[in-house]
Amino acid sequence: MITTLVSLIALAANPIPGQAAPDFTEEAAQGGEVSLDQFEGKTVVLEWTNDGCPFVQKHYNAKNMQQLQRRAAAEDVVWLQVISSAEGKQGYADAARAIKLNEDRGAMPAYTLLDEDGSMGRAYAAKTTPHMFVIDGEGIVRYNGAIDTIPTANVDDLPNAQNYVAAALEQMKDGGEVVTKVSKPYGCSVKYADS
Amino acid sequence: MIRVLFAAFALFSAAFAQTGEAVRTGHATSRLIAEESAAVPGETLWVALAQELDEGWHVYWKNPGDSGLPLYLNWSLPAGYEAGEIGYPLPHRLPLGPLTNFGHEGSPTFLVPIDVPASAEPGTTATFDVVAEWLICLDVCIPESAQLSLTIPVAESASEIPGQTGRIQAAKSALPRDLGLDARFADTGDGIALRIEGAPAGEAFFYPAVGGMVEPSAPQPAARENGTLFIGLAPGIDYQVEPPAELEGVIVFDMDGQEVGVEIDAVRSEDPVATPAQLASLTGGGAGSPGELPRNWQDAPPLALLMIFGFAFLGGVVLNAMPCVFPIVFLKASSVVSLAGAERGEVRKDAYAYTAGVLVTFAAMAVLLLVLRGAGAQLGWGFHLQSPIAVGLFAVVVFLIGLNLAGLFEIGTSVQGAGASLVQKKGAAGSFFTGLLAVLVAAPCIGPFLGLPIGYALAAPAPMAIAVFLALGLGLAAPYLLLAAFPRVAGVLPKPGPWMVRLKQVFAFAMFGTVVWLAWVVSLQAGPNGVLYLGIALVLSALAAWLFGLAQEKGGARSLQVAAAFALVAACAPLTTLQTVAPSAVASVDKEPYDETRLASLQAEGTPVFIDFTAAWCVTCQYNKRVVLDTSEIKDLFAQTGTVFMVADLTNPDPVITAAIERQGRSGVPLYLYYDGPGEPEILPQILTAERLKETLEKAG
Repeated sequence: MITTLVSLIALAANPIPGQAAPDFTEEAAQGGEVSLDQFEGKTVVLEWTNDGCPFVQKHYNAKNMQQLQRRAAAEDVVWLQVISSAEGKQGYADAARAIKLNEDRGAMPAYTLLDEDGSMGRAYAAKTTPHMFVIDGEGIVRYNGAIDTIPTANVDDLPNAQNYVAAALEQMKDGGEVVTKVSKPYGCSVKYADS
Repeated sequence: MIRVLFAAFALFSAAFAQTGEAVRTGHATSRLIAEESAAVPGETLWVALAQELDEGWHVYWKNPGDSGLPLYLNWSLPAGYEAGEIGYPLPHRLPLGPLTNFGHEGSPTFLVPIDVPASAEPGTTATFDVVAEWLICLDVCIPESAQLSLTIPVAESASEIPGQTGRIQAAKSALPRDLGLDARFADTGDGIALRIEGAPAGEAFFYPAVGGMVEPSAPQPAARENGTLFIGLAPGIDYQVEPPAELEGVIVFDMDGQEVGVEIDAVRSEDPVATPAQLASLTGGGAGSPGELPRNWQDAPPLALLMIFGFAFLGGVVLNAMPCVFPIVFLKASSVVSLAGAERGEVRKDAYAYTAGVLVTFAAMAVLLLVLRGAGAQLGWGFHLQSPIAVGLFAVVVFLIGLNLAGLFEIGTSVQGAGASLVQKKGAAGSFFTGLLAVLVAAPCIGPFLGLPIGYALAAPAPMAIAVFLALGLGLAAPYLLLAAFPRVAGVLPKPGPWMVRLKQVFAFAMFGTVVWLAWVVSLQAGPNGVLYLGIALVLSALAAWLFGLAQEKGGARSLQVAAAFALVAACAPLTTLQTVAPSAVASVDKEPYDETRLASLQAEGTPVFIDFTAAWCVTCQYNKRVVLDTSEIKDLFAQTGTVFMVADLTNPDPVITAAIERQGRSGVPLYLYYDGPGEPEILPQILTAERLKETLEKAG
């Protein structure tokens, strides 16, 4: 009890590219539990999301996020959406709502993780929606940060922005180094339960 | 209607120039203002984006912290004019769960210096246009933007503009100053140590100029030594990946509520900038300022733990001097007085018993609190006084002690086995009970030094938490333990005599004062009826005390004792029915859920309709509901005017309601619409007032 009190207060340290990604086991909206270790050998993308957040809406309304997800699926990259909004807060979704949201906007993540207690978000020090992580097949963090270079909620900025995640996936393809490993994530704050 | 107002305002302001048109976006009103009445060729004219934000909403500093976006200004100026960098107001910390943002609430003024070219021609006018974009957040965030414009004459000289010059000058004087302070920083292994020479006084917080360098939500322990300020920082992800050569930012010094910002440009040092001792004082929580505790208790080094216990003990000692514990100090004093001339062993026993009473009660309350919190109750220290029943019974006990001291019923002296009051009974049990009372009274009282240890205890593991509370209890009992250590001190007291009785009678008034305080607490918790019940309880318990006294005089008359006991039970019985009174318990108006078909038919028949677009997570909505919509006055008015009250609840997503909101050009709740027949609704302000709502409802009725 007391230890949960403590964990409520603190975010863990930032997972730094080059270090092992924090392990997690979360319930998936698609059913069952999903852990990081079950994707050994595959590249994993984590996308923190909140459908009520204008910054998330920017990327979904313009189909930018869906395209990226589709591309990931085609390249055998595991795309995991994470919803860390606490119950009653903006973006909170149970399994049914999470599935419906994705159907309505044509999103196709491999799984949507329901992190309503915020434990996974805190382990990754996820700060904003969107906040993106790319983890390689060995479980090493390769990218931690924003989705792209222009931190606005304006759809018109998308054509001029460089997508960090697309770049990281491209650079990792041939076993190469990710050029931009860290950026400042932008968006709405993750709606954790009040501590 | 609001648009018309703004249009009128625009015309008005155009005539007077120097003030841009105020633009109302979802949660802010913005306009451009100028420091002076004219642009003087070759000089700098200070203008500002002046915003009034809705209550509770905030916008962001240049480094917004964990999330958020800073203000973006895109200027279109006449040829030759140049706009400088935005001068932000001093940032504040805006915590949101485990995240922290840096930003501004209320009425921020964002300064921009505009260089007027020497070639500008007096007699003409200059128009400054800007597209301003900002993110405004409560806990939800909404991007807003406005096109703002300011037209100002070009002249050889300029004068002040009432209302604007002052605001801009105040903002200018609040800008962070460059004092040229020597600042260096170095890694300490588990963090960053920032060292600043010659820093001003005041509680310091470092706001990094860019994100990713320093964790915004990490506490910043500070220590001072001979004019040198040390601040401990937690590195952000960019810093961890590659430490920068320079660390820029602003330190805000809080000097008794007066904030001063100082620009810092710290240079990276390969050598340590702080000695191990200085570092220890950093991690240990700083120079005696509570709250600067390593956030994670596991990170707390032994030294910090020692300090927490030290503060708890010290806080306990100081509690003896806090007004809320005074009555018990008097009580204890009276029992010390009765020790005059007592044996040393007796004195010692008394002090130990009192200490045991304090410690046992503290431990019991700490366990109870931790168990309740574990069960999910949102309770703080002193929670027992949140119950009017507990406060009422407590008042009766204190009142009886007062009567006892005043002499209404004598104790243990004249009558043998008269069941003397525990408190006044000489010996261990009485002192133990005094200790218990002391803790019950002291609990809601957080005195100096106690904020840190109690805050720590509530987050620490149970054994540690109880240990902290015991340290506090030891502090509370310390003055009397001294008596045990030096029993001769009691010998200083004058010989026993009538003075003891007089002194106790005087102390009785301290008890009665405490009763007045408790009665006031009950009045807030349980309303007028609570005070009535308490009054009756006090009268009956006084009767009980008197009967008890009589019984003693008559040598223990059984019937009188029974009557006394009966009166006491009768006194306490009504108290147990006390209930916390809800702020407003009024008949509810029939509220209907939002229904567009029903709305259309009501509009057709000319029935007025008020629609409350609301959500459980919307604080402003709840505020309006509590303060305006759910008051009996307004509910009556709805009934009188036959206005239909519809609730459009957006707590859960609802496409119909969202669309309805968007049709009004809004993005979220609260939104209040008033339909009086067919046509467009009237939009009421987001911060509703009863007057405004009455005006609207009565206009139709």
